[in-house]
Amino acid sequence: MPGLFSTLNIGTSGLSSQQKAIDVTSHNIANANTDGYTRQRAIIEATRPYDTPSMNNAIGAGQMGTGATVSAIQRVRDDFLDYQIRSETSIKGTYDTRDSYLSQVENIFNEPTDTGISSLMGNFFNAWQDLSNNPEGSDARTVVAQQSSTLANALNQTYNQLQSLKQDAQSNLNQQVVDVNSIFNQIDTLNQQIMRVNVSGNQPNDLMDKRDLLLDQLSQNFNINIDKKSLDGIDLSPVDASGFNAGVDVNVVQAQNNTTGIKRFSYVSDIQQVTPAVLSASAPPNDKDINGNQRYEYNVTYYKNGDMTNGANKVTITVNMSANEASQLDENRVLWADSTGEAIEPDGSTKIDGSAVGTSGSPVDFSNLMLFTPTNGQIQGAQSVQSDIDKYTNQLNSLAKSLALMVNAVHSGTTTAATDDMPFFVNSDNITYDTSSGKNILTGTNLTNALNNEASITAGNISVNKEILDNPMNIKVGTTGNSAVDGNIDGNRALAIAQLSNSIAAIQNVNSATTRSDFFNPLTTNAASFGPDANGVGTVQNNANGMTLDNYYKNTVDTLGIQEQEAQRVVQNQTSLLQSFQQSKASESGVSIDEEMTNLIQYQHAYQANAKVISTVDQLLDVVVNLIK
Amino acid sequence: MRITNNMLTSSFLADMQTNLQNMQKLQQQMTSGKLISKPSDDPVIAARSMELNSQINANTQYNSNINGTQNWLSTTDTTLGQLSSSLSRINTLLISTGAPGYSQDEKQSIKDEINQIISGLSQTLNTNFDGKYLFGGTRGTDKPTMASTVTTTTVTAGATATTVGGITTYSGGTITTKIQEPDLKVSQPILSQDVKTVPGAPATTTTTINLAAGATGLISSNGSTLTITDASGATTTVTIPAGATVTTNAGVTPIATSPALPTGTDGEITITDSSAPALTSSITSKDVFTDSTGTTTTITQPNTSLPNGTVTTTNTKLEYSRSDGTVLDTNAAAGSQDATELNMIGRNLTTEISQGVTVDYSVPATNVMKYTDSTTGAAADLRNLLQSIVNHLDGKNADGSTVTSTDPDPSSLLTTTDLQGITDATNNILSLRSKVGAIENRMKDAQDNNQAQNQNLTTILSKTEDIDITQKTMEYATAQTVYMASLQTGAKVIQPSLLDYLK
Repeated sequence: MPGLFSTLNIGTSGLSSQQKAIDVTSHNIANANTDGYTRQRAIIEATRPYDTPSMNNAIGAGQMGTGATVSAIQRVRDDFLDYQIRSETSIKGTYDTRDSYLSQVENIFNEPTDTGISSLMGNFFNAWQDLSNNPEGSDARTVVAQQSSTLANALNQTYNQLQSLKQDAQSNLNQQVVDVNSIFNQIDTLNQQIMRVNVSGNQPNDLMDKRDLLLDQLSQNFNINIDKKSLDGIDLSPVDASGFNAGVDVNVVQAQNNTTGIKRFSYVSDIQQVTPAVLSASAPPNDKDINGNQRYEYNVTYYKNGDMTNGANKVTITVNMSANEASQLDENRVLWADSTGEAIEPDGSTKIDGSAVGTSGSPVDFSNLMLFTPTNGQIQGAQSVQSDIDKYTNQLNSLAKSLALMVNAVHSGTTTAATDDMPFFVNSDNITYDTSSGKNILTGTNLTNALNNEASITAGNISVNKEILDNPMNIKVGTTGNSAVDGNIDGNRALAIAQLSNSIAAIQNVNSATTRSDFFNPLTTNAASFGPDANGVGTVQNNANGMTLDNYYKNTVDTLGIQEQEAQRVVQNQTSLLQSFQQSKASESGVSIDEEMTNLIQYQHAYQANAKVISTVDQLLDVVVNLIK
Repeated sequence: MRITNNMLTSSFLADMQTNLQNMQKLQQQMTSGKLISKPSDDPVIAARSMELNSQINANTQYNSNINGTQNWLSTTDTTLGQLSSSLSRINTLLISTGAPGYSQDEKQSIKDEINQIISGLSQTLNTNFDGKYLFGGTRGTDKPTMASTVTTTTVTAGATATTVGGITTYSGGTITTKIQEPDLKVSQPILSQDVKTVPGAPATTTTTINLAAGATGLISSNGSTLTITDASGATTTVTIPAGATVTTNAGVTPIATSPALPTGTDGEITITDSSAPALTSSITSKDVFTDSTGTTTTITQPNTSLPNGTVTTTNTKLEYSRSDGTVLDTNAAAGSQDATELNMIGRNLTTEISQGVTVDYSVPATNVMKYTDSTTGAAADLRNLLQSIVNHLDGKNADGSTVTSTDPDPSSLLTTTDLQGITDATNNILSLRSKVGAIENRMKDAQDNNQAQNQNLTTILSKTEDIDITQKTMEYATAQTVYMASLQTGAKVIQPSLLDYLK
């Protein structure tokens, strides 16, 4: 049977247990507002009881308790909630990014307003109507020239803004690559620390909170996959790692072999086709992409780990790819890399370092480049929004080109660009005017070049022929286009151009290669046919499969509106979904001040009671010690 | 469910955000008056609104086209009215010539009035509207017609006119050709040769000397002078041109070939000189004059041979005008400048009044001129009719030639074919007027239609994208109430915790 000292020990164990519990409580209160903090709980257990049954036991009532001890400091956390939150965060990440970029695209298009392209197109055609009514003077002609120039400038500006927005999305990708690589390293450090702490038998609760916080953060960038390993270590990998050969390890953080066996991401900063164009030297069928398009050589520059601050990280490689593949790479920009940041091939080990390149030597085939294509997250958002921006840009290009080809064909009365002598819209790239007379004149080889370049008109380079801007009397307004034959108030051609606003053409068929003759050729682009109108002016004949210029533009804006609306709706939905998960998480792991206060009072009382036990034992000991006088 | 403090604050913040977003959205709608500000607010409304705005924009343009055309048409209508009243005045005048006992003088005064009316017709046809000539076809910045050349040709008695191949050659006498160009632009004055004098020397000069009784004549030994001595002994010396012959008339003693003197007998001595060459000048059907700027101007003159001693009187002719202000040759070969310009004058102007609907709204001068002769059914021209009227009033044939025994009486033609012609031409103008009236009506309808459509579109646009102020005000009031309530609750609920009650 234990003596009084044993009782004293019980009191002491109670005292220290309650103190530890108060420590944990105060730690909780201190971190009540800490991001990512998980509330902790001191698990108090009764210590091993005295006197297990044996031969030389004193006979007495039951086992005697020996007090209490804090057996563990537990972290109250639900892993399944973490999983849910992370996968929903990834989806929200996609649409957050898309929302932010698409709303900027909406601002660029600036519709519906009085100053958007739609209104400017209306003004453009109205100016031609006015010209058809008043063809005699230069005032209506000047208005046409200036309105056309305004429309062309608006198209140029919209195009340039879309391009710079795309570049912005790319630098966003670059930043994300740098960020995630840095998060990988931080997680790896924490991972190793957690395992070491666990080895020593302690609970690394706060370190695990930090790691979980980083994982939450990372799940915004892409959807992650976590494999739990021994000693609370984890292996971290992206969910989407398609393209690698079977069995290749794609961990970006791993518990074992944590420095060499891991993957990183690199950022492609520049893609340039080799000029003059060089055909892919790969043996068929690798010289063509899966759609049968010819591959060409491109110089591709990437920065290891996306770190562009150090020139030593720059690697330039030659890649065989088709135009489609180049645009895919342009939108994707993120390459799988090994632990040093050097791009790797699908086998997971062969480096693409620009010198002696892997299996294929130099250059490397596009199929050997490992593009990182997550299905969710901000990286995916920035990647997918680029393809949307490209889509809008292409639609704007088709619009600008169709406008130019239709107006030029009616203005000159010919569907063959080469026979035109006064194109209305020209490609402002690589155009030279003869300025020897003090005015811009487009003749001879300059004119031939301008007409050859007509097929490469985009929204970015459409412009009004400066010869017309300098002298609006060059605008052809009459039935034959020759005012000496038509009379100077014959406005039938101007009327035909004004009526192009209602002409239905298959603008959707127009692409970057379409020439003026293709546009009207039923065997190629077949956007529309060309024939005389009621006044005998050659003009665009309606194509039942087409739409008007204005409608085509409206469809673009409409699609944009729907996409942005979807992005906003998903963001809203995900926000409220996440909000409810966060609530559940806060309910499970959050610190409740009331609860902690209650606990504090409870532990305080227990502490006081334990102290009373010690004080009582002290009095008892005093009795015992002073018994003998 | 276990509730923690952070849950309360975060859900309070999230709800507060939602409230504020709702209020911001409502505020934006209230201040802009529109349901949407971006396509993503509501893609359907945005697409509809853009479509409607485009349509309204195009409709406004059509409305302005219609307005311009209406003004043009009403001016055309008025002008055609003036033309037809001018023609009806000619009609009245022609009827009056039929009255018996009208003298040539009275006909002259009628002709003078008609000449003035013709000038007036030209002015009316040259009516300018908004910088364009109403009847100018597509050549609208140049006058379509001109009151043409007024030609006065006086040929003195004694001159002879020979016409070969359209070229009239005058010999002898003095020819004064005066050409008036009232319609010529001031900037192109004809400076030289508007008065053309042909210095005529007679082909044969005869000088007749009356010898008084008792006078004698003596031809000098070299034959160059004739000296006449009268009875009182006074002498007169007459120069004999080289090669001239001297003859005496009956009753005079023949002059000897030697330098002998005729004896004093009453009679005449005639000196005939045929050695000087005849001076000729030609006036072709088109004389070319050169002005100070070096521009050549061609002036058409009556291509008629002038009988000896005829005086041509003043007439006005209605002509198409070339863009350089000279007379346009309606018979010029196809492809020539004249033919091209005539084609322009004959063309219609077109405008678009609603989507895909175009209207020809102008009346070209050629349509005014051309009419159908109701008697023969043949195409006729007002210009020729007017010319024939003035020629008939001059007592000549329609083409201005002299009446011969085979030609009908010009006076009777005035009240028959000419009168009929004027009636037909008036009818033609009336039919043009009714056509213009019909187009005007159509324009009125188109405008009503356009305005109704605009009204509808604007209404639909308003219904599509404009807010209902009452509804939004109520919604805003509700949102505000919710916001206030959540603030109140936030202030009361978030604040207290167990801490507040532990002492």
